Amino acid sequence: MSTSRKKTGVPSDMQISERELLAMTRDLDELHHDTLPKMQAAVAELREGRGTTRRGFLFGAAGVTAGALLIAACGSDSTNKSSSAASTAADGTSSSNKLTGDLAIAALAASLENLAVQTYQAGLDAATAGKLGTVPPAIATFATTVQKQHKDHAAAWNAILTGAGQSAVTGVDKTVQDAVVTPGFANVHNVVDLAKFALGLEDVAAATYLNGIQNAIQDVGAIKVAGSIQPIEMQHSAILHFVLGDYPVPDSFAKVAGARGPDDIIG
Amino acid sequence: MPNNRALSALIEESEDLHSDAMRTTNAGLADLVEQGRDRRADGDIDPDEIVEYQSERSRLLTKSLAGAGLAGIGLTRLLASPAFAQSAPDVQAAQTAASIENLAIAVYNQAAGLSFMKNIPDPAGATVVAFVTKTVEQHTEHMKAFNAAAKQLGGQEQPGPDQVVFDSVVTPALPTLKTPLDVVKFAAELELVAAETYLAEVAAVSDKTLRSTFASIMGVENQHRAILLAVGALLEGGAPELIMLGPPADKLPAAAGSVGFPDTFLKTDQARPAEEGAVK
Repeated sequence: MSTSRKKTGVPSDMQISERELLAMTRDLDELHHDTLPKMQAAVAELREGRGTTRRGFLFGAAGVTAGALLIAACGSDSTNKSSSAASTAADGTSSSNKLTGDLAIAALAASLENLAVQTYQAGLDAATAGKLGTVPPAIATFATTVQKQHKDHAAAWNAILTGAGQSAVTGVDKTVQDAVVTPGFANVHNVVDLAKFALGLEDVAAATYLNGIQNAIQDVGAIKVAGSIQPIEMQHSAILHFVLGDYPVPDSFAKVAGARGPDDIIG
Repeated sequence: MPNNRALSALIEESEDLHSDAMRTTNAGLADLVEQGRDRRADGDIDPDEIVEYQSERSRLLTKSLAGAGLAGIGLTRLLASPAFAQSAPDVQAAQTAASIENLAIAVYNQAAGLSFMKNIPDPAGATVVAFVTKTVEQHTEHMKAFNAAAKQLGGQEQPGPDQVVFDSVVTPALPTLKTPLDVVKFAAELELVAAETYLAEVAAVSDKTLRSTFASIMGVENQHRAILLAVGALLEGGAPELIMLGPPADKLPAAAGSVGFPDTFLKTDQARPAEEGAVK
């Protein structure tokens, strides 16, 4: 692409302090909550106007409205369902791996999103602790923003699960965590390592969604959800490629290589 | 060095993006509810249901005319025309996709020939030229894939661009493109239209192979958009010297970390009608 390729290195000066990093995280959280009233109003409108008609996201045998999905994606107003799901997961009795069909894919997707959230948090924690050396502001912004988007993606899948009468998935894809994340994160010593590591996770998520759309998911509503998320994961991947000095759109067609399947252990 | 005031504005704009994204996601999901159909995706689809689907999708697009930019322009004219929709919905969708790819190829090639695009100082200049070259290659591959799908489904290839968008959007816009930033922003809009159109078709088409094609391309168009948004932000922020593969991360403004992916969920409010680029 450019003739002036320059691999990202670790700058010599600290670019962001712990205080700034925490403030940025807090600001993003506030931004997130700023959006809630508007979204909740829209959901209320939906319920008032069309609440008695079960339409939209049908998933397996049970249905969930996009309104419910929207609420959960905001991380609020689903307290009862979420708390119930959380307690189930806390007991270690998640039934996610007993699910079949589209619901199993939803659980897998939620667990991968949770793993991404957890991994970015680990990266942010390591940065805050000074373990990654200099953390440029743009990298911190990337991590906090992407983490929030993954939280919303997980919430979307969990809304579908709880809407279908299942428990939300609060655990992570243990198969990937144990085989890839845990050993891999031990080798993350700076932001370049972190970016490379994150790139791998984003590519796995995008591939999993693509594989779901192409080969696994049957319900059109679920296809829409997966389809609305996969291109976002690919954008994360493109920016990471760009920052790392690689061509940002390496493939003309998205690939399913690395896609995870419903046999992964969730816990 | 970046212009500090411009960068501050950029950062502020980035913060606004979150609110905007959530608001528009809200609208997009509400639309999904409104147009909710219990359509199965296994190929056994009632043609009447498809007609209803297309009608509903057109209604939603018409509803978004106000301030909708690319999504709205020319749509009224299209909807008023009874001449489209001569072949099967999947064939039309594939042909329309090919027409969008042809349009993108034409726009990139035309933009690359503009004098101010040829004179962007390096490293930005070389980066942009390389991006345009590669992106045209990728759009060409996409176009071939969609045309192959159209033929596989018994239809014709679509050799031309989406004429509605070309006449109503591209032709009037080209004379207004005065700077590289104008071009980058315009290209980003076209990429969004492509990505959203393909997302809409992923859920709408009945042929599984065609669905797979749409699914494998929509994310790539969204990646193009991500890079264009990032490049545009750096141009707008007065930091063209940072436009290179592997930019010095410590010099990037904070907002550069999020400007490439303003939406948490890809929407379909900018999607073009499935019939728009069908071979007449």
